[in-house]
Amino acid sequence: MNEYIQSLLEGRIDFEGQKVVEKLARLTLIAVTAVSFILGFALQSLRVTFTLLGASVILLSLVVLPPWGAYNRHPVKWLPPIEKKPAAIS
Amino acid sequence: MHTIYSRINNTSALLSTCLMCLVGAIAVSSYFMTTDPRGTIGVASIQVFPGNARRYVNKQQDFAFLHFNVSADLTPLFNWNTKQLFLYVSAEYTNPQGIRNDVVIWDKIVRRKEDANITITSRNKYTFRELSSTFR
Repeated sequence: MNEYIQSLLEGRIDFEGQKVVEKLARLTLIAVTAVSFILGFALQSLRVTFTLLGASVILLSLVVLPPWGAYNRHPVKWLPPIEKKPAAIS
Repeated sequence: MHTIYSRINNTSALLSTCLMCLVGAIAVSSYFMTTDPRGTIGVASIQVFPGNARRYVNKQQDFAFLHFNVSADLTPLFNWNTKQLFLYVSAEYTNPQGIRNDVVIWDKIVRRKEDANITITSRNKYTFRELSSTFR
């Protein structure tokens, strides 16, 4: 029960998922900044710029922040444990 | 990016960098939108009266009442980065002691593009007094 709550609060994703999330976040933020600047400049309205930016940020956080199952499709394959013989102390 | 906290951390850092670049770009863009609107201003009448200075009751000062007309179309000045326009009328003269004075006698704040076509017939808003006793 304790571990379930802990895993819920941490929201872990595996390495492939992290790669996808990082690329997605970086790409969308830079693209949305550029697009909202250009659109606002064309329409001469700061309101357009900042509402577009805010809406995209909220959408991005819904996609990127929760640990969706799609980000956990490649779990790390741990090797089986090796039986160790105790080393002689010299 | 392995926990929610680290994802929040990374995305908010990138977001604040993007915001700074956006705001900088907006500021720079307003330098490329230069306009030169012109208007007319004319003085309708000036009246000068002697009186007493407000603070020192025995000191004489001249008070001037100026009526003027201003008309201009200032709508080009409103670009996306403009919050408000501050307009002012200043009177410049040289008093008999040879000192050049520049006094603001009227001002106005225009907040919307629709209000930017101004045609004003007005008198000075602030007391126009010559501090060294006389205009003459």
